[in-house]
Amino acid sequence: MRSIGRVVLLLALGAWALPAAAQQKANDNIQAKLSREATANPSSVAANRALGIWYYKANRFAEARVPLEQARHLDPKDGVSALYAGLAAEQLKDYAAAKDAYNTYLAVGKTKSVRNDIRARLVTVTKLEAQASAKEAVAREAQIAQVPGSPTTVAVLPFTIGGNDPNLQPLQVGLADLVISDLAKPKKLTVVERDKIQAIADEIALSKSGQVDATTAVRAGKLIQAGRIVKGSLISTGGTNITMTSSTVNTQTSANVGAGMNSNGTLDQLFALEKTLVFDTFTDLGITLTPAERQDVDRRPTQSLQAFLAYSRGLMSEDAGRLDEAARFFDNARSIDPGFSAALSRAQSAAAQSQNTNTKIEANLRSSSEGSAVTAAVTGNAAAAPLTNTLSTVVGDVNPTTTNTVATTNSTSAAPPATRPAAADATGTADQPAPRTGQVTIVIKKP
Amino acid sequence: MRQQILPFAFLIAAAAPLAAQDPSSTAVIIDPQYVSYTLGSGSIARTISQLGVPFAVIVPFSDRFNIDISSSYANSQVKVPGSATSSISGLTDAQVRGNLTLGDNAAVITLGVNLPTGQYKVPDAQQAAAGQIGNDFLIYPVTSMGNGFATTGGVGFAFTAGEWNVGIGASFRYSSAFDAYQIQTSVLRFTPGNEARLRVGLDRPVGDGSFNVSLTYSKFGDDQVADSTFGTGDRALVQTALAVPLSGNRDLLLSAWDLYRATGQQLGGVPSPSENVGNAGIAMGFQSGGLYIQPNVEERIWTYNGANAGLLTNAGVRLRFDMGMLSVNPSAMYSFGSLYNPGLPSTGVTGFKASLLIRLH
Repeated sequence: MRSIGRVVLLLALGAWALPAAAQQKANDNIQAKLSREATANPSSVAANRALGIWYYKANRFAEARVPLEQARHLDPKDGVSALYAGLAAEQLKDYAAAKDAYNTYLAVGKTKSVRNDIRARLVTVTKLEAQASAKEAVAREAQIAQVPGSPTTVAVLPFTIGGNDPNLQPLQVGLADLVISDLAKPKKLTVVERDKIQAIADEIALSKSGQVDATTAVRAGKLIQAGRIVKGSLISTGGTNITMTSSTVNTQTSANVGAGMNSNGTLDQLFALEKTLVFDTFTDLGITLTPAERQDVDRRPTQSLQAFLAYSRGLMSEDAGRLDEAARFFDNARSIDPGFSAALSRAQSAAAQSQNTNTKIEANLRSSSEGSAVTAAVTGNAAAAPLTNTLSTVVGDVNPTTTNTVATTNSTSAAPPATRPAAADATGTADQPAPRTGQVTIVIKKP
Repeated sequence: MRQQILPFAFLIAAAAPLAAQDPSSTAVIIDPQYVSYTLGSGSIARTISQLGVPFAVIVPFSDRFNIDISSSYANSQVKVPGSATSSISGLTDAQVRGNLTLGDNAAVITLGVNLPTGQYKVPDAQQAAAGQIGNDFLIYPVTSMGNGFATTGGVGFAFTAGEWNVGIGASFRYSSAFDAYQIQTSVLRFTPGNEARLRVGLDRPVGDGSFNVSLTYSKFGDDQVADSTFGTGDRALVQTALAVPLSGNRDLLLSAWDLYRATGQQLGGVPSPSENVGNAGIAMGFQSGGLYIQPNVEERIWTYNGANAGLLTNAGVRLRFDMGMLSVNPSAMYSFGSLYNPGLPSTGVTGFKASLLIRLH
């Protein structure tokens, strides 16, 4: 017994004493092994996937993409390859490729918690993509300005908020968000997402102190490649009185399209004024709505001004990257108006984004049934695939040894006896904890 | 003691050059366990205990071929008040097994040998301890001190069918004669019947978790002692488990198995009635920092010759944490229940088990 104790102690000391160099060498060995496996089996999904995951984990993202894309090509239904292809593409700031890969995982991935993570991740990646596109657009502005945007592609710029009531400032994004949502409903226009507009706005400092000058607004429209821009404003004119205006501008000519809108009312009539603005914009753009489409557009997400103000504050916080704060504002909007479904979905999305990291996605994946593919890469077992566990169990059941007993101890319930204790069975001694009556006669012939 | 350690040292030495193939992937597992059950109380109490130390070395030669070598040290005792303690200790048989994977995890060929490094020619005084650890109801970590030289060859296949993975396997075990017991001045030379196994199983992901179910059927040839042949009954084992991750780093494991042994004969033509052991368990695990904690409870039912023979409740906790390259898995379990004999009062059973599994990888 003392000797066995020494062996255990030596094993433990050996583990702690392994220098970092040995670990590095082991990693190099794994990479070399996975590379050999992928080269020898270019049509193996498992081999390519394992090599790609290993490269990703070694922060060699460009190298990771090649085998991962090969694995995706070989098996378009392999969710793990798609997921890691997305993670690698995101690290390389190829957001379009990342979104494509993530959407593939949403379609074929098997792990529900990872799919939820990816949905939140897609929101973040879309914003990052918009920011990258905005930078690129500004860099190529002269070239882009030569290409006229389609007349049916419309961008709604942040509203200009005037007057002395600072509480209304969040409506610059809230009203723009509402108008974008309404203009998109009939599906007769291509309405630029608010994220893209916000990214351009941030890039060219479109809105300074809540003001948008006409020249900069047209410039923004050209950069987004929108044929038309909608500029709105809300002026507090004292007490609860407000004036809402809007104009639709042709980005190529900088000329107004249609008559625009200029209406007075009170804050209580904010949503009615917004609907008037939207219907007038449709008229200016030459879009005729059916009665059903009008009814759809006329539907209001909330009747509560306070809920809408909280929602608008949430959008501002979200734009500034303060996701926890955004989630609280959206939650506040939902608590003021429990029927405000957009606030609920925004609250969930902001909360998910604030907690969403690639590390969390990987952790969720590794604890799922798809995690065996990652383990295969980390351990250098390229041949490992979901079927590995199945085959391993088959071996344990048809050719059991003590290895199976110790390998499964503490991971499952007490395992049943894997083999027959032949001699004890034959003599009945194995049954004796509950003794049976009977007579055993042993006849042994002399040799 | 030195003699007992020698085979162990041989196994480690044999594994060393194998490990040199790819040291980063070699796994060493050792699982010291102490199990003790007390049947009845007072002057008729019988205590069967075992200190078992199973250990295994798994060496992947390549992605497709690995070898594992395993054995155990065991010290088993049967104590009955007023009687001499029956005790046996030492190394058990060693198993060397090679597995070759074919295709993209499509098939596996497995070959193994059972080397008779265990305890043979067991004298009278040790036979109770050597035999009672093989009870299928009070499962001990080491169930036999020696089964003789044997070779096993098998093949397994795995494939997908929709969301399911299907695993099918078959094997044949050829056993040779060995000197099981020393009875006075004679030796009981025993030849276990050969065994054919067939296994069919299914597994699939369920949400973020997994489900599996399998059936393993073992058909035995006749055992032989001198000119006498007999068969102790074929065995069928059904196993199933459902693992479900829950929110908050928790998970739920539901598992069950049922072992059925058909009627047969024991040595001397004594009838060996059928028996059935069923076991169902539930475990709820959760992660707390670097420590995984899994309280668990399970119920086991034994029927013998169609009559209720035993009922056992096991409650315990399993832990898991990492220390460098070591995965450490301590566990403890308390058991209580009863054994039944037709026409006799039931016999109370209490017991406990403690283990410390350490895995180096």
